[in-house]
Amino acid sequence: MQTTIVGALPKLPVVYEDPDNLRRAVNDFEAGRIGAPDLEAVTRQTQARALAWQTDRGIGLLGDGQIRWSDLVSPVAYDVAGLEVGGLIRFFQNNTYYRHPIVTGRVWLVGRTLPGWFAQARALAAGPIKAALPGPYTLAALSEDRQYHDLERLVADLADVLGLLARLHLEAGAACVEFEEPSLAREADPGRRALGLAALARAAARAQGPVRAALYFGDPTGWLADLAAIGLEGVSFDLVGAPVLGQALAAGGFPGRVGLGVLDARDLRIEDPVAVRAVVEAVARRIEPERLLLHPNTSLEYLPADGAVRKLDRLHEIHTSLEGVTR
Amino acid sequence: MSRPLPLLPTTSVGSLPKPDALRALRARGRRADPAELDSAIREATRASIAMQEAVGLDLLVHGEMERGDMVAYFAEHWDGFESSGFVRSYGNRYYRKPVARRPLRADGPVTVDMWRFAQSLTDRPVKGMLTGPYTIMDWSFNEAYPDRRAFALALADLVHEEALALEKAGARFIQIDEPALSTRPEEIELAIEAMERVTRGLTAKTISHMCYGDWAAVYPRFLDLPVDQLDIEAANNDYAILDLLKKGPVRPEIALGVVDVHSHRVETADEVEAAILRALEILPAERLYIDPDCGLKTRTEAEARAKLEAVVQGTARVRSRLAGP
Repeated sequence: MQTTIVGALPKLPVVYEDPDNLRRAVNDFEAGRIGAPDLEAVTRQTQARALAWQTDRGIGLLGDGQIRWSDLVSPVAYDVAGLEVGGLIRFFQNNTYYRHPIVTGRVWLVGRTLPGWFAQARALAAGPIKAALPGPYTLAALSEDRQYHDLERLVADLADVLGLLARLHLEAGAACVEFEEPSLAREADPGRRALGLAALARAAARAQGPVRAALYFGDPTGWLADLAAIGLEGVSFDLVGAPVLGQALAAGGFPGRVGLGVLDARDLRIEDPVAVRAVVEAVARRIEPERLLLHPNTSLEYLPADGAVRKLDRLHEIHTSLEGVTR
Repeated sequence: MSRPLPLLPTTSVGSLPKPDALRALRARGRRADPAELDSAIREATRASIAMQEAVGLDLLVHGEMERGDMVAYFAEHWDGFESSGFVRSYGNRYYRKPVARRPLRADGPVTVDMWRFAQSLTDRPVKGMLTGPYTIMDWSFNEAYPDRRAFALALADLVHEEALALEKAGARFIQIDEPALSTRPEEIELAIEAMERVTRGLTAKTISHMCYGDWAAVYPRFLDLPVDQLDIEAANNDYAILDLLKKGPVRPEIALGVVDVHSHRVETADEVEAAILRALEILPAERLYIDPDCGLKTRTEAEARAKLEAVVQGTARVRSRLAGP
């Protein structure tokens, strides 16, 4: 059993006044008080700190924390022709926003910015590290389509593009690529869901390496079999938003490496380790512990830095207490 | 006694841009001299009222010069709330998300003084501005209450007391903003229950502003929010909300957002006129107010004024049409 994170980590230090404060560095850069090399130095320090938070707490599968990403979806436009960046929209139920991509032409991969960012994180990582990308269905759902006017074609093309991007991340040293799919996790329409699942499979095939999906903010309990059938390396689930998923996994199992999102990444309150342990042990009776990953249910960037670190501390504590648990 | 409103009253949603001098003072945080800050806030409020009068708005706002954020302002003044560290909202923009550490308590009204000051500057009505309990709950961390419902209802009691105090001070219009209303459709009943607590027994006209949500997901129940008027962002979404509203009866009055507050481009009076005419196909003029999509604090002072002028000019044209030759 290992631990991991999902997506982004806070960019600021726990002590705001610390010198490696990326927010202050960006403000200073924009005001002309520091130059690009100074900003880059603070960005790299921020990346190193995000990795250290994890390695210090025994995280087995590291994440890059998306330190250079402004949100989950708009940075993809840096590397993809046919995507432009539009206005701010609320990101699901959060007081957090993203710049929505606007599809203005046929999408195809033209850049290497995101793999380059990841390679910098990989160079600083002390262990296996995964890359996080938006999944094709979520990217399509959060975009404004002015070109295709056909969701199936748009999702398929985005799957191709994201699959190629995933391959570049794998070539840059990613242990795996995790597609974040909150829109798919919440999708109630079976036809659209089938599109999203097919797109994940298509992207995974293009990636030619281990690809996972993180399904948060939704409850895929009713279609776990469909999800299992697409043959990903593994899937991470949100057991905070959908506690019933724990029972479903405990009853029916799931193939691959199964992620259990057991800590609430949007709530400062720290979980009772006994309750979390009970959930994990129930699943571990059905799924071999070596196939389990423990993690927060979504990105820890919804918390301030001190809150995120406390969650990682609790994750480490729970993980340690589960050593020796067998099926 | 402020003067009566015309047909298709024009108004604004809440916040207006802060002048540079006030921004600079606020940036000093706790190092700012309180008396100097208060003076700057009142001067900016005076200017915002004068600007709205000059533009020709009918129902004014005080501009929220004393507030940094619509949720944090209340959290800063109510006992039991503390600020968390910085949480990112987008890019390099961060905010201190409030944390309810203990059961909440108010030592007295926190909005009446500024409302009273603003109303003293004009004979036009000024709205009392509050943030709704559901939104404060949803945009805060909770360490004090057993669940979201208990948290929201405790906040509803505080917001109710604030509304009562505004009404007692003379406010004829009280706006209780709920931009988070549509974010969790499964909690729409909780949002309605909380608003019932807020507006219970009020005689002032109650308004709730909502924006940037998935209205289809909460239609038609959001129309049952117990307020007299729903103030809805529409221009940003190309008036898709009107397609929903024409599906069935609309009980509350509607205040329609006709200029996009997230765009630097200033809409023309022609565009505003066209938007109002479109709305009048499904809503009676007697139950329609006209305003921007949302608070204008993110625009420059010049942009905000120009957008409000477009609102007033476009509305005037429609009034002329309705009055006939």
